[in-house]
Amino acid sequence: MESCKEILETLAEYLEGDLTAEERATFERHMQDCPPCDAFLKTYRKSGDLAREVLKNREVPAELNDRVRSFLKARLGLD
Amino acid sequence: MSEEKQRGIAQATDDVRLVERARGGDLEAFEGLLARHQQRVLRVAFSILKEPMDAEEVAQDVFLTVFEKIELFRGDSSFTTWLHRVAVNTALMRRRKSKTDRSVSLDEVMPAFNEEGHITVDIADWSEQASDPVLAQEAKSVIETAVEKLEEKYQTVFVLRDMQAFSTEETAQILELSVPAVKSRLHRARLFLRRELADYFEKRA
Repeated sequence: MESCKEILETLAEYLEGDLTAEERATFERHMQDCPPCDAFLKTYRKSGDLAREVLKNREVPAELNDRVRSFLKARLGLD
Repeated sequence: MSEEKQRGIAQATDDVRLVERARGGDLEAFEGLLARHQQRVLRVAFSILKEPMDAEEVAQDVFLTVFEKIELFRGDSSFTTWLHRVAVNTALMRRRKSKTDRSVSLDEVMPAFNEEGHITVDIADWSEQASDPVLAQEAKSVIETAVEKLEEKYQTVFVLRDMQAFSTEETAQILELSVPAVKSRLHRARLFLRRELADYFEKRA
């Protein structure tokens, strides 16, 4: 059986779908048999999901958009 | 072809037309480009700088630079890629001037292994807990802080991929990196976030 270290070194490739079918099967088998690695994978995934939510919802103050627009329109003579 | 890809192609085609007209001095074309891209550029600047005033000035500089240099745009990358490359570089330059780097090392983001490469400690699975609405809210604030701590090269990849939803390929073009380098930085950044969240959940336990 591959070591945890070898398996976790391929974690990113696994999630990106960059592993061969055989490597993928080895990875998944290891996860079934190894609770610490399985917990690592699940928490890694969850971290990525939470980060995407946080970043997507970050809002730029609305007045900034207006100010940038007005400034550039004036500078470029678009008014 | 995916809907997203079709939208991307349609957008690039519109950009090509607008850039051509802008080169000929057509002011409406400049306005069109501004309307299409201003919000996203501002979001990139704001994500990197956090200070509204700084983000505002950077976004203004970016468009002025791009419009002044529109003749130099060779069209071998998409206009969006070019524009965002200028945006990221301008924002990073501003940040380096105004901020001392408080970023932390990404060492020890992997679990401890024994000599045979096996994990010898328990790893808590808090992924279900993190779905609890109250805890998820706290976890998000841990993430906000963690993203701030990321070194610039990891943070920019994060902002472009996860916040602006650029693809890995687009992010690579904007940052002038290889696709594997973008993937590797994103992975390192996520490992760091996982560790920060793990610390938080372990302290709660």
